[in-house]
Amino acid sequence: MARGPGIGYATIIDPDESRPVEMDTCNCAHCQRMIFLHDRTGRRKKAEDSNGGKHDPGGWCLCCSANICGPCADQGQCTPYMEKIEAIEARGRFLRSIGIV
Amino acid sequence: MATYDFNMKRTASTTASTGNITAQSVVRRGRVWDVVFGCEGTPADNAFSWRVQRCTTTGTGTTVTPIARDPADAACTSVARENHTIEPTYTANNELLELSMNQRATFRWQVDPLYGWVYPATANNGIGWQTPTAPALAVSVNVAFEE
Repeated sequence: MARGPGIGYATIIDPDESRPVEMDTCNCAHCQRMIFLHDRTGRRKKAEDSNGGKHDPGGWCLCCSANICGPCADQGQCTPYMEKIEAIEARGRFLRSIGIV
Repeated sequence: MATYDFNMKRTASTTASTGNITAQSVVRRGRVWDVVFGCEGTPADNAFSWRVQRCTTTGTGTTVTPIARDPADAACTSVARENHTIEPTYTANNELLELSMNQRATFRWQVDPLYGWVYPATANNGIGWQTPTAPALAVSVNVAFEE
C-alpha cells in the first residue's frame, strides 16, 4: 500500500474472501469524493478501467496540483473544495448577520 | 484539534438515514477521518449499499454524544444523530462514498486527519450515512472525527 499526503486506506473484511481486501484511497480535491486507487483484487486501477465515472481513478488537476475524481476531471474547472467550504461559511455568516438564521 | 468517536445504530432502511454529524455552532469545522460500517444481523447473503453524502439540515433523529478520546478535551460542538425519522436535506450529486458489498462484509476507511472529509463551520451542515439498498437488519457505523 502507498503512503503519502492525502492517501487513505480502506479495508473490506468479507468472510467470503480469502483475505481482507485492501485498497488505497484519496479524496477528490474538488468534491472530496473518495477515490479507490485499487480494485477489489488489489490491482492498481488505470484510466481505461473507467466505468461510469463512479470510482474510476480520476485525474490530476494541473491548477491545484491534486488528485481529482472522474466527474470533476470531466468538468475541466478548478474549484478546490476548501474554497467551496469557505463560500458556504461566508454565506452562513451573511445570513446570520441579516438575521435570517 | 480534538478527536471524538461516536457510534450510530439502526435497523437498516432504504429511505431513512443511519445517522449524521452536523456542525451546530459556527466555531469549528469538523474532519471525519475514520469510518467503520457493517451489519450486525445474522450472517446471510444480502446486498447492501452504503452512501455517505453531505447534508445541510440535521433531520430528526436520536442524539448521540460523541466521546473525546482525550478526557481532557472539551465536549464537541458538533451534533451526531442516529436512527432518523425525518431525513436531513442531502446535497444532490455530492456523495463522498458509494459502496456496494455483501451483508457479511465490514468496511473501514482511515486517513490522516488532515485529509479527512471536511464539513463547514456552518450550522446544520454535515455528513450523513445512508443505506439505499439494505434488508431490514441492524447496522452500525463508527465514526472518528476532529474538530
